[in-house]
Amino acid sequence: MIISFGGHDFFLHHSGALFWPSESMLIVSDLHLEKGSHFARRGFFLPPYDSHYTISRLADVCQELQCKKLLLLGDAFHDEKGFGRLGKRERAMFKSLLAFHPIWIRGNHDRDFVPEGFYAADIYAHKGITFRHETAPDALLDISGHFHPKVDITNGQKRLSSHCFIEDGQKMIVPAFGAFTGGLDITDPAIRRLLRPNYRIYPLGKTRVYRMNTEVFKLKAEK
Amino acid sequence: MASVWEVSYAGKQLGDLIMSRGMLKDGKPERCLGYEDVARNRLKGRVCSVITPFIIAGYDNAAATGFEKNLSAAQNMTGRVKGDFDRALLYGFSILNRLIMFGRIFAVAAADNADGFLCRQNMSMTASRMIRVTVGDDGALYRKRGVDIGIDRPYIKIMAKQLHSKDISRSGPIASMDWEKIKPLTGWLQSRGWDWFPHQVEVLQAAEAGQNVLLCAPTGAGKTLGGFLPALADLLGGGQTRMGLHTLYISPLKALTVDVHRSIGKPIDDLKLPITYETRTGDTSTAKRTRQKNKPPDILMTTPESLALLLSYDNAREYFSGLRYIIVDELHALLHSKRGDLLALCLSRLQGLAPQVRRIGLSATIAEPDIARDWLCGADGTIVKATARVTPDITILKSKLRIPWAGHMAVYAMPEIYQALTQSRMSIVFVNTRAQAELIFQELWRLNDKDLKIALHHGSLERDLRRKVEAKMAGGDLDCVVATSSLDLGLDWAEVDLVVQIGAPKGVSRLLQRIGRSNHRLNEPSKAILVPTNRFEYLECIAAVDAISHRELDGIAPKTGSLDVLAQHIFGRACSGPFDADALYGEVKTAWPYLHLSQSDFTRVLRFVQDGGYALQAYDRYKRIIINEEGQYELVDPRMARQYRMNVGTIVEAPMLKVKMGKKNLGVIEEFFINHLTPGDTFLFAGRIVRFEQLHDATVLVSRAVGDKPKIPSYDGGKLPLSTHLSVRVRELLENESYWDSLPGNVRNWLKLQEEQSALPGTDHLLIENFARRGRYFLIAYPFSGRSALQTLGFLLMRRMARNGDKPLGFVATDYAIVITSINKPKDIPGLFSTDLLGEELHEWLDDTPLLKRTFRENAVIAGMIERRHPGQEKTGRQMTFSSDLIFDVLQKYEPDHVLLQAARQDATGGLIDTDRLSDMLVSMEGKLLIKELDHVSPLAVPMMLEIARESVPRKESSEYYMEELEAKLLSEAGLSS
Repeated sequence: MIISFGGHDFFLHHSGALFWPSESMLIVSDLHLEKGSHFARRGFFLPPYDSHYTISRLADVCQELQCKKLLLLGDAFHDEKGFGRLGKRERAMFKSLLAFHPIWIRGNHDRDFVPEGFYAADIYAHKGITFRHETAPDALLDISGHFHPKVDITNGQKRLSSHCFIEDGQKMIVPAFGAFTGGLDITDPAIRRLLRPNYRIYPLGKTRVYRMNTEVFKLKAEK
Repeated sequence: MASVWEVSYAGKQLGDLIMSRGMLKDGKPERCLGYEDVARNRLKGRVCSVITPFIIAGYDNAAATGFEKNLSAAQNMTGRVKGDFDRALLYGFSILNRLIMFGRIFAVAAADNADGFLCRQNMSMTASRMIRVTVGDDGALYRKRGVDIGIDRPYIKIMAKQLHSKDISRSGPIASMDWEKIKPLTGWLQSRGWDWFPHQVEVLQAAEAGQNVLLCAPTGAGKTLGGFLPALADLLGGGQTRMGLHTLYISPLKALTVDVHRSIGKPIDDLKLPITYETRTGDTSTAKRTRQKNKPPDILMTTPESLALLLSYDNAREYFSGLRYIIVDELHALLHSKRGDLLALCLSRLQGLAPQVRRIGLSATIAEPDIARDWLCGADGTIVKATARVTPDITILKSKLRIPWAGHMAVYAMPEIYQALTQSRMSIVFVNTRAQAELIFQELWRLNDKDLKIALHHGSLERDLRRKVEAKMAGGDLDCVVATSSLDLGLDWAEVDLVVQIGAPKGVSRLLQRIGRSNHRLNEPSKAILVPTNRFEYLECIAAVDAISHRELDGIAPKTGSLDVLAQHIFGRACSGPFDADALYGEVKTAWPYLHLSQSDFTRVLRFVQDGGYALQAYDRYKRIIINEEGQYELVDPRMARQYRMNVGTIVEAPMLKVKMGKKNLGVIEEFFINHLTPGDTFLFAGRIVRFEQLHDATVLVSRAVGDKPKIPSYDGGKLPLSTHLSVRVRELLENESYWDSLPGNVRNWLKLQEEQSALPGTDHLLIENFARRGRYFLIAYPFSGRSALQTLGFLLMRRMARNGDKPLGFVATDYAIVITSINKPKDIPGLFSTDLLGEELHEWLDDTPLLKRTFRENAVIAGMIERRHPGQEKTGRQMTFSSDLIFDVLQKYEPDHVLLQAARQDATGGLIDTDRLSDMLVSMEGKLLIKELDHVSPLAVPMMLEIARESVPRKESSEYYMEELEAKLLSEAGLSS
């Protein structure tokens, strides 16, 4: 789905990636790579395939959209030591992302780490649009991640729960791209207080992104 | 043996009456209450003022006959229900079923029907000779006369002394009983006018002969004391162990451990026996736990989870090595759950630590006690059965209004239910879901013009609130409680004299259990009213009542042990010290659910516990357990035990948030529900209308509110599928017109029309209907196989129809039937239902279904792959830590054979997805399809069509009207009048 934001067209991909066609730039957030091994250190053995899964999905999307540039919107690794724990194969896959001249926005999880060859910044501004990991209440024309927005709607017995983009004309929050990442419901005050009342929601479907507005919450769980 | 009769009455007049007639004198049965003259006086003179029930004990048939005569003479009595008294019924206890209608008299007994009385100590009445009558109320007058004063209300106790204990000692193996040993206890019982039951003595003898025992007895048959008897006898004989426990009591409910602590403590304290006894549950304070760890009591009352914890400590060996007896209460409630798996594993461990230990299981009466016996005791265990309780008195609400075609809330019947409540002393209204509980509670209060004290009890309420309600019930301070399965088990509510079950019972055993809540203490038939919420449920209710009157219960099918529970157990085992893998495998296989566990599955689970057991050995350096120099497995770091202890248990709930009003905790609610509220919205919670204010630190803050249309939280679970046995009975009812007499006219008419226009479902064929309506095709099948199985059938049929080009749009499944809507006319219906439906297509679908993902979440938590969330633990404003769905997807993609996915599939096929039952149905119905091509909707299909509408139309203001209109249309199409 293509939407206009800040005077630019953006393509919302059902994988959770945001594509900026005029810049050939792909924007993804919250990869949380090596989340599995992060928990394994504490004795919770999540499947050790998350990094492989996430990076190969990312590579596939880059391929599909023919992007030239890549912008990682923070929390690419679940923790600062994540890069060191990448398997050999995954490390090579990760390095191949360098072909897309990646821009590395620092996140809260991997704050002091920047992989070699990545251009790192806390905030990156381009053509009037600001990119950062976590948005601020007064930010304008700003694209961020951090919150892992998720929408949860019921209609009768049917329930829709999915990661989503949200956008109110001034701010856009993109979903988490990582393999095991949970979500925060967009009605949570932490998200809601950042947005203007009538924002738009773009849940990720299997093959496309859908569009809703806040009216959807009027069809509330009532059973 | 002595019997005690409790008589409650309105004032002390009755006591005066009895005393004035010299009934306090011993040995004069002709002066006993229950005799003609007493009854006559009582009924003629004073009955109008009787407002609480009393019990009349008779001496022989003549007494009952005389009583009945006087009863019919007293036609004008308050509350008298006119009815014919069948002479043939004037036989012992059976008269009670009639008198109960009268509403005030609760038992009349004839001595020669002694068997009916054998159910409870204080109610036994074999060859009774009343030699002593004591009369009591709060007054000192009666106390002076040696009267046992009740808790807070006047009552009379008539003790009927009889020679029961001699009966016991006369017969069979009991003759060899060493009565000396339990003499103090016998004395204690007799001092209260009780004595041993045969089944209690049998338990003792079997246990002393070194057997494991399963005691099946109805509620209130002295089951608990029977279970503890061998342990008490041994302790009385000086069997205390030097260090560690002597007896372990395990119940599925914390509240029950407290209750049993009190009831078993009574004789111990009264007799000042040198026996220590304590409870230990999640609520036990840390200080007490520590003390228990160092200096255990003789008897410890606990839950399966707390037992697992105790077993994980490094002193488990010393702690349990002297154990003599394990008593498992409410065994029937544990067998088919993961808690049962956990318990079975713990028991195998205990048997390893204390080979001499004997197991005693206590269970409600169940259909196939052999299976429960094998599960707990092994095939050589002894089954002891107590005499059956009197058949309960169950009626199905015959509403003046018609029974709704569809729906689940029974709002139509509320005034009549309320009416019934006003006529009983204390009642429990059981419902099947928490949402129902909240709604019905509101509806009852709306009608409450007589100011009944009505309370609410369900699993989401704050524990303190629940305890408060329970305490009030025990104290007789409530008139009615609306409850879910949270009150199904165990506790003794003596005052309850009516149980109302709203919605279909779903299973006979469960219904009996619930009904057994009424008149729990007294040996009188329990009184219950069933309220079907729709037509199919009416049929189910009839079938259930019929099954109960034939004493046919549901079978219990214990489940195969789940691999995630095994993983938890292995981890726990490692926490208590190094272990040998082969020895542990051998030990685990002694637990019934794991009898057939293969070596390879065991090894895979062990590997999972070690480092996740992934093909990609990425977590080598993060191992939790390693092999030490002696070739044994041990914990890498003793601190890992904390992880085990934080995550122990098999109950995994949906993410919950605390609900608070001011400083008061109201309970917990599903996060999912709150996510759909905006501040200012009102909803029903804890029985009141509250306004959602805000979410603060993972707590839902609410305020008191009034509102017209509060929302009702939807809670997961609580919906059990229709039991197999009941399903057969419903189909039998349908195909045998001779059974229809018990149906109300409109239901009968509905079935007759169905027979004319289409056909009736039956036991030897599967009815399938196919018709078009408004450009859509509807395919309806009536297998009555329970919601889970039919939902799976729905998904599978959809796939197959899509492949056939039928363009299916969706389906709706109930416990009884399934309807699929499609754009094209379904082709090859017999092909759709062929048994190969369960082949490859099932597997394809399984890997993809959200149901499997739901199961997987539970597996991942239980097995310890992801951390358990405790309510209120997580702060709001942060993302959920994981999405188990995404973990599932990744695992499925990279390692579809991983042991946890195997566990999920195994659990799902028996549970949520219920392919076992589906396959039974498809196989038995192969070649027996009765396919009806119809021109229009059939009468039986009407409720299903309404279900479709209910599920697809969003509930807006207009929807009520829409539903009514649709209903009217469908009815006229089917040739039915409403």
